[in-house]
Amino acid sequence: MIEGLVSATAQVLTWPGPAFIILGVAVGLVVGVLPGIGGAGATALMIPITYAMEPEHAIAFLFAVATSSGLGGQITAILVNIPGDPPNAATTLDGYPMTRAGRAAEALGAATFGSIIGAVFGMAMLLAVLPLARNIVLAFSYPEFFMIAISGLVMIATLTRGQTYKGLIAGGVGLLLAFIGLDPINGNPRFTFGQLYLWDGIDIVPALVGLFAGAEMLSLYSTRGSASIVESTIEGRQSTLLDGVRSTIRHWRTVVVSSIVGFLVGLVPGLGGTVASFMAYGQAARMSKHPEQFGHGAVEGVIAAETANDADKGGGLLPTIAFGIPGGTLMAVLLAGLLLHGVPIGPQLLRGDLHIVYVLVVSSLIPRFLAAIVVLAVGARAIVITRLRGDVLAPVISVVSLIGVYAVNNEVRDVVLALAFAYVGYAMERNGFSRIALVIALVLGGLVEASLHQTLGTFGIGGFVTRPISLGLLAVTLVALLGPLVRRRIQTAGMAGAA
Amino acid sequence: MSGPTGRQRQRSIEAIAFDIVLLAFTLVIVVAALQLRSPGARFVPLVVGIPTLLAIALLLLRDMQPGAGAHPRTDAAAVLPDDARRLGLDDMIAAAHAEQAADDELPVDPEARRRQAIFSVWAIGFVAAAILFGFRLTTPLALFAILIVGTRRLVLSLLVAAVASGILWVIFDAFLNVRF
Repeated sequence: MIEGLVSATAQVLTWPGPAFIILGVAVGLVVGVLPGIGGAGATALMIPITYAMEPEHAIAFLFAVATSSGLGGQITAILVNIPGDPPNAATTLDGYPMTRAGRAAEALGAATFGSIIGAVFGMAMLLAVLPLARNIVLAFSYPEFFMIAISGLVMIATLTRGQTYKGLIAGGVGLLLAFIGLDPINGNPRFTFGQLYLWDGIDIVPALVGLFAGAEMLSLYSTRGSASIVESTIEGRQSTLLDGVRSTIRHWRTVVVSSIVGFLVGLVPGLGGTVASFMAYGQAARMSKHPEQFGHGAVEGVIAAETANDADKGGGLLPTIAFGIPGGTLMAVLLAGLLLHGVPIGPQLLRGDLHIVYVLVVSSLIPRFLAAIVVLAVGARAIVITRLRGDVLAPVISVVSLIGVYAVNNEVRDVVLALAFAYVGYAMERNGFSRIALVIALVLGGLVEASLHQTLGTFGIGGFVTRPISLGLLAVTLVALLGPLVRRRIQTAGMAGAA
Repeated sequence: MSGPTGRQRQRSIEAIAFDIVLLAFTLVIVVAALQLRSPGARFVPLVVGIPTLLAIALLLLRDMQPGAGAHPRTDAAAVLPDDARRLGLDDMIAAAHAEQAADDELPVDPEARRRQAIFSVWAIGFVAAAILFGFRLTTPLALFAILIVGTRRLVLSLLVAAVASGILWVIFDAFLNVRF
């Protein structure tokens, strides 16, 4: 493993890798600090421009954007009470009161150091659990692949924010979109309506860029610049960054528990970093000797939220690379980036040597260390980034990504597709449909169809219930689907009984 | 009890319109699947398509009920827990989802809505012009147009449009040999 990590590090750092990492960190920190554009949206926008890079460098660049945005987001969360990204929201609960009390530097130091420890813990756990996941995946046959795809989809539809019913519809529509192209049985064109362009199916890159970046660009353009943020005052300078590092070491139990919570939440498709950070925050409050300080500037609250938020990435990577089931939006975006560069996912990846897994781990950690150094060096001065005007940035970013979408296949219809998906994504968001369910269904559609046919051809319909792993996954699917309904019924009956 | 407000009515209409779009797409796929000759090719699309079609039809019926269907809107930042140590797991997850919802909401004041409309129309115009005239010509002109509308500052708009177009040309045309 050590050799693999060293080799992966050498490959990622081969020129021009460091330049791409620095660029990715810069982009990630800027979008992280800017409210209105999240890490997942920014990473989606960057996918098209990586098409000419070596896969290792592209992975490092995308991870640099994705991971640095979280560190950027904590700056505004702590200094001005505005989370750059939703996962940084729990950080505001104690980070901002610390700033008001003149302890901004301590909060920044604790959040950054906690993030680093969480990230290292998450990736270490990923490497530790990977052999187990490998054994499970290698025991998979067609029924298991079908059931894991379906259970992943159902969990995402039920666990992500919004209505489960609409999440399932979004998943169904995503699957139907995935069936456009050549049918896997006969190889004949299907649902292409005479368009040669559709023979290869709906390309994931324009779909992803449109769905996740369209609404973000609209939001960014709506803001001329966050003058109110810049005008906020950062009160007092009564602590140092080193105080934050010391606090993190002193509250090592919070760090360990939050890392475990973050990693475990990351494993469950549909939950994501925001849930991880809030859960870890709640757990830290319950564990604390001074729970009354939470919400009033408890450094443990900042440590818990940021540690869990970064440990979550390690957990999220496991289902993404082992089963091809992304745990959340960011992982779906990164999965699309991996697919664009021909990186095999699932058994294909785990059967061979684990070089690409080591590249993923190294690519996740190196930019984080670099971003942490930048955050610690720049500190509160990073707030100046919020002076960037949204109405200048949004058009430039949109043009870059649309030309990037075109460049992937030299196909102008991809740009039209991205634009169409931007409006679809906007409508989905406004009407409470899960965009992540649609994207993941689009990614998994081919696997669902092929594995269903193969199961029925090889094992018959009984294949889903006679094989233990498949049966277990079926049970998980049913619990995810029916559990909330049953629970609501029980709660309603309980309330009726009490009345 | 008061009736739906103008904004709720608008949200209901938007919800119904989007349901109809989804219904139309799903119906087209299901009808096209029924016309496929190979049973293997149409099997899975029908297994997925028919329940999805029914689900959307039910959703449409529900959204057409007076006062129903509109996705609840917060129009404000999430309400974060004041006293997290006393909250349970469900409360923390609810707080996390509320934060995500608040983050996803677009600004709704009239000026923000006007700017969103301008940007939406500009994006369509940009893609249409790129198809007709190519990105090389369209990029600087389209960038300048949206920047001058957004910022109302001539020098800034000219400068940003020129620099961004130059960088794009260097990256894509000169460096990556993408002819556009």
